[in-house]
Amino acid sequence: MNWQTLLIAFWVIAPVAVLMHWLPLMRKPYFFSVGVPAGFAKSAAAQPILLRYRSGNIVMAIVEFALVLYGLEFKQPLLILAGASIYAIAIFILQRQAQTQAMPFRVETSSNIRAASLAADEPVSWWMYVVAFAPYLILGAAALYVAMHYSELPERVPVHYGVSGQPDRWQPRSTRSVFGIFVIGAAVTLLVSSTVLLMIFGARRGAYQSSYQNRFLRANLLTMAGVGCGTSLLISGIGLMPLRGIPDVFTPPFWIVNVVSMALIMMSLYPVLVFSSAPEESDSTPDQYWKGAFYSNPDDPALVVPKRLGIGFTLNFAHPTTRYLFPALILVLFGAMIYVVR
Amino acid sequence: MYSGAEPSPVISIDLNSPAPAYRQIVDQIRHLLVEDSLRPGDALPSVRRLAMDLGVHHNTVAEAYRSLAEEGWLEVTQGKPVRVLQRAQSPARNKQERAELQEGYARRLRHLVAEMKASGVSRDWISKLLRSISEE
Repeated sequence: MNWQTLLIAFWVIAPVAVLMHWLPLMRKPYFFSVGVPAGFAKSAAAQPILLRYRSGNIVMAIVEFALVLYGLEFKQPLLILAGASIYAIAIFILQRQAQTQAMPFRVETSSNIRAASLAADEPVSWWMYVVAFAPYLILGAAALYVAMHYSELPERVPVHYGVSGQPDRWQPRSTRSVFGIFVIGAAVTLLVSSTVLLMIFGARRGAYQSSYQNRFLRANLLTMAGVGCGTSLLISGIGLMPLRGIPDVFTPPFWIVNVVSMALIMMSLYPVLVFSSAPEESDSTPDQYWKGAFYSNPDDPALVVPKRLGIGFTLNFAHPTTRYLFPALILVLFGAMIYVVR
Repeated sequence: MYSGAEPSPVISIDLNSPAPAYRQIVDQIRHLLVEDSLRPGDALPSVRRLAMDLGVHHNTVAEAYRSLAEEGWLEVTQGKPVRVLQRAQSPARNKQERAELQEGYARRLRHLVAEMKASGVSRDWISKLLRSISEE
């Protein structure tokens, strides 16, 4: 085992584990999705709940680390997926336990007074469509550029790259080997744009233009813009790589694209983090319908609602549309993941 | 966020109120129509959108829109935006229908006045209130 494998496994797992450490406290009136009095997270009652959850998180992250490391070392992608899945399930169970333990300290945060604007239009501005579709434009432009220079491509093209940017798998030049990466890009972009469209058309809007919900939605759309454009820039960069011939040494452009897209994604988290603290109004999602990070309320016509655990929006799992949409999104996600780790 | 230059009217409902949610929606939209905050030609949110924003079932909003459409205030057509109609002051009704309607209003008002008296509101205040509301 070399130090690079160790480093990759660490950088994949550590940020998620750190995020999970803080996630239950990120949206201030809530503690593991339960509405609690101000300052509860620092109280003596909260400490054992937090301690149990956080130590569970560390133990499960170590288990995942071991499985991912083994999977990377012996080229067993299923082990990597198993590690990630076991960690995700364990986190769900730990969060549910903490939520149950926090219920006795609950205070009512959801109001029975509901206000709504009579504005006819959806909360859509032109830039929101740009957010949803800009990643396709980036990918399309890159694919078009490759198509225009198809004859300049080498006979054998790289189809997979290691983390250092060096190609580690090759195939004869063909439509599939050259444009396959753009298809994967389109699948990932489909996830991003579906999320954006769900947020625009499936989330509750605030009664007033300056309502917290509307500002929260705008902040999340900005984040999705960064994530969508960052990801499609990275994928486009990889798709353009074969045009550079057969690089067998360190390849600066790959790193430039990598760094630019990561910076874009990290920067775009800022607006959402700003809005992650106390909402000024009720989110109209009663406590009893939250199961850990998941929301499931058959009486709520909203398809997505702002998360109480963490940042962004989550699906209403009791909504009839979710029955079809969620498996479809998961299939696209797993398809892309399997391609990447293969 | 919203494209309209003027801020759009807002309605609010209380899920704890004994009045059903659809009735609260009807009453508030009618109030906005009567006081010209909503004008003929104005579009209202779709049933799906208003239900989502209020966090109530689609049928609740559909029922409210249907009720206002029957009163002649709204045009509700499948697949088209809900619009405020240019409503005649008194929709075509025969004499007997109008008498029944007025009797219905009188009955509801008597119930409300009785409720106000029972909760200790003075007769004088009630009559002043009724006069000022009718002159609005």
